[in-house]
Amino acid sequence: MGRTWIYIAFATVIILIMILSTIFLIEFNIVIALGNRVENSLIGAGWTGFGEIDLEKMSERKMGLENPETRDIFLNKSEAENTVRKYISENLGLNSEYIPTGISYIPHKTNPVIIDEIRIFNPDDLPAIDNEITITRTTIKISVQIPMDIKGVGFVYAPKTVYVDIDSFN
Amino acid sequence: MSSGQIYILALVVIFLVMFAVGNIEYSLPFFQRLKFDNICNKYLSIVQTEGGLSVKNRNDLLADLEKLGLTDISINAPTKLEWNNEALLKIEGNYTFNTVKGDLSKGDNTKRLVYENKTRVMTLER
Repeated sequence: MGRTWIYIAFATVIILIMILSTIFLIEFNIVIALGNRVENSLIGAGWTGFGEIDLEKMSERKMGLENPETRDIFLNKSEAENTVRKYISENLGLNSEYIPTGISYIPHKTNPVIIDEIRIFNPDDLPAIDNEITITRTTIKISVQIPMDIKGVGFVYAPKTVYVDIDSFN
Repeated sequence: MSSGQIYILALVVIFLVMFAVGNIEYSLPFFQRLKFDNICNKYLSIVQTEGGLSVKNRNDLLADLEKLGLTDISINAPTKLEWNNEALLKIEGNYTFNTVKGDLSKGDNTKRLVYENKTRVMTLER
């Protein structure tokens, strides 16, 4: 009989581990899927910044216009940042205070999305190294924090950073 | 091994199998969601660089989504927009997958997958 209780205890521990690992796996999947959706939305928003071209600066260019490799794009930084910010809000379904609205796919609807940084790297800022990433072409960096509730952990902000450049158009 | 121990062992094995099957079945829609989002984003980049979806691209997108197992697909995309115009890509489709219910019977579960992102057209010569 004594051994039977050991087996029962052992079985209970295994089942508990399975239940916990199931919860962990489901939450992990939710976080990964949400992170992927947010990344896609941020990339789409980042592309919009490339419409805000600094025409004055572009008109000064004389060298390398015939070569796509050297034909760099100068963006109007403040305009590009405002446009990207607007489309982050639209693609993530946020209100004016960056709180996810009813149409947003972000499940947490109480705390705001934090936009940490929208940074434009123009050709005259390059080459640059940001978070160990070497940037050699006109790039828009977007860093945000997404509010989410994770079972067993509680409320957290998950950081997400994307770098959007001309090469990521295709 | 006593009959009681065999009984416990059998229960544990049944539980393990049920959890394994449940986990796999529950995870499948997440992987489909990832694939769905990545396909849609690829076509958002096409909308952005070409100003919209041509008939060929639209058919390719439809074929990619059907290959994923989606049905009742709806695609809302511009066909040709000028540079710097706002473009919306909205794609919806039903994904049906099998799940084991509480009474251990199999049943179909359908989820409506929706992708909606906006961008601006950048018809760049590369």
